Amino acid sequence: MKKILFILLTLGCFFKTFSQDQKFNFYPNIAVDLGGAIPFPLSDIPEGAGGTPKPYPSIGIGSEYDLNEKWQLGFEINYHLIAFSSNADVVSQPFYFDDGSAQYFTGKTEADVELRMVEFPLIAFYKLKEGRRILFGAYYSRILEGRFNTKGINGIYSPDKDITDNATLPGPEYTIEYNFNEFIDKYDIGLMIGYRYSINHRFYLWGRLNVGFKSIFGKDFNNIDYEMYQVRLNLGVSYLLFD
Amino acid sequence: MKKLFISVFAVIIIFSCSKDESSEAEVLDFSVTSVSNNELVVESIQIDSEFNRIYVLFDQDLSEFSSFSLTIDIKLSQDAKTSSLNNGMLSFTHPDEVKTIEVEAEDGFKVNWYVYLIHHQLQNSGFENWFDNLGMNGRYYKEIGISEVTSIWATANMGTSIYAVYGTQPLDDGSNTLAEITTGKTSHVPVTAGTLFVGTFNLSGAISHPTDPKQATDFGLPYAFRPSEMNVKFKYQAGETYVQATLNETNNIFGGFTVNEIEGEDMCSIYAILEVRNGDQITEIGRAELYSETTDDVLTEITIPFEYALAEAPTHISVVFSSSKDGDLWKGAVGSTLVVDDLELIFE
Repeated sequence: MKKILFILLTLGCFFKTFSQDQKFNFYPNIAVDLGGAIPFPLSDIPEGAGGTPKPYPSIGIGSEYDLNEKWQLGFEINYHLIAFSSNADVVSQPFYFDDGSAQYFTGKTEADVELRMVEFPLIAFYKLKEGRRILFGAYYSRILEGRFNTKGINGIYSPDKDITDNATLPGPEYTIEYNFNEFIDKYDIGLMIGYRYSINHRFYLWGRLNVGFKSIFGKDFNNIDYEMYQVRLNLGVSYLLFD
Repeated sequence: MKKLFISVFAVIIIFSCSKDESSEAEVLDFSVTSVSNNELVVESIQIDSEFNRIYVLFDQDLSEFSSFSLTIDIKLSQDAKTSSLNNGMLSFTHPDEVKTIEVEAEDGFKVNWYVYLIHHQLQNSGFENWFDNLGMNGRYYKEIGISEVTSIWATANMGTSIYAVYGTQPLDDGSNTLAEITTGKTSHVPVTAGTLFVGTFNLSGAISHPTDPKQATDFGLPYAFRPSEMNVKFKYQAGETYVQATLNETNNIFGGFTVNEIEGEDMCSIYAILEVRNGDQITEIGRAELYSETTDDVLTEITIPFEYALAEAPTHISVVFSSSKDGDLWKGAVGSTLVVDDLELIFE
């Protein structure tokens, strides 16, 4: 307990010292994430596919630095949980083996994706007019835990693509489940754009669109023929700690 | 304004008082109050709510009995009903017959429950009955039993049906049907041992854990008796090349296998295990087992004694035939073939 108090006091002194020059300020964030991972290229999304993002709160802390009248620079540390489920009717969706051979699935599929991560964004804010700024930046995320579960329902499964191309559905009544959890990479990098509105001199309201620039799977994972990229909308508020 | 307020209030009250209809169609209790044939005595009843199965156990051999009926007292979920009982009776024409009870929940949702007769001999132990089953590749193949839901026997055929490979098939010998169990391979798995066992093939386990074949088999059937021996007719021919396949990446089937030829000869396994199961706690009380290399090409009847470690009555029995005894470790010889017929449990 003493240690925690000491750390809080130290941080408080640190924040206060930096903020005294009126250029630095610090804020906690609370937000809601909507999004998940989408296949890329987008043409790999089957016709009629549907997805449901599951909203989860995110929290974090950040600091901003006034470069000049127009520009601010921000750095944050945020914790996110993003979750998304999707379903699609697929025809001959391949699963590749390392030797180059494949199995194909035709039928109903469902996928559940969940990623827990700590995100470190570096953000530039540009003032449009008083109280309104656009923002853009880049982020690095450390993935703490990832889940990617898939289901194939009442479908046809074969290494012979002719069979799955010409499958008569429904197939036998079964649900096959397979998870790709262990293939999820440990990090993500990407870009963000957004808009920030100052409710008053301490409260910010903002929205950001974050787009991952790498697949959520590790580079050695080549068992499905598309990549999955993080895409999420982050809506939140920040409260400046110092005037 | 006052009228509008009262109307809205009334609607809220009506909706808040309405009750969702239940979709539960469980069998909560099941008992046999009488049997049409006085020689038949019910030993006990087990209800398996996971697979909707009801087992009626008789401590005798029912093989010679036919056309008898059980008077049933059944307790269902609240407001659920069934019309499958004729004056409260279930009539059987053969002890291997499995009866279906359709239970309709209050909201109309229907669930089938299956009533099995368990006695000294196991259903379809002559391996005469096979049915056409739709495989994962959309093609039909032969599976053991009368139907998927009523058979107490299972094979791994469904798992390998992806590749149109079927390790366990009926073998017609004139008027008799035997079970032929063969070790094969697929384009992705170099050794797939054929198997025939009492229990259910867990397709979900097979697909979700493709690197652990044991996850594909749920062995066992309720059984409360202590046989002294097991008789079965069999012959076995080991395949030519005995190999050990090893996953290139542990827990990753996509990474493929390395196959090494090994010394020795493949062996078949034939065994039965009696267990007491109490929740997750499983205690083996006895077993009969035989592991054999190549035999003469003649069906031979063998007697395998049960060795008991405990004096208790079992709650479950597992019987397993495999064409490669270490097939679950990816070890065997493609082409190893075990033929079995006429399993009989002997009571002294």
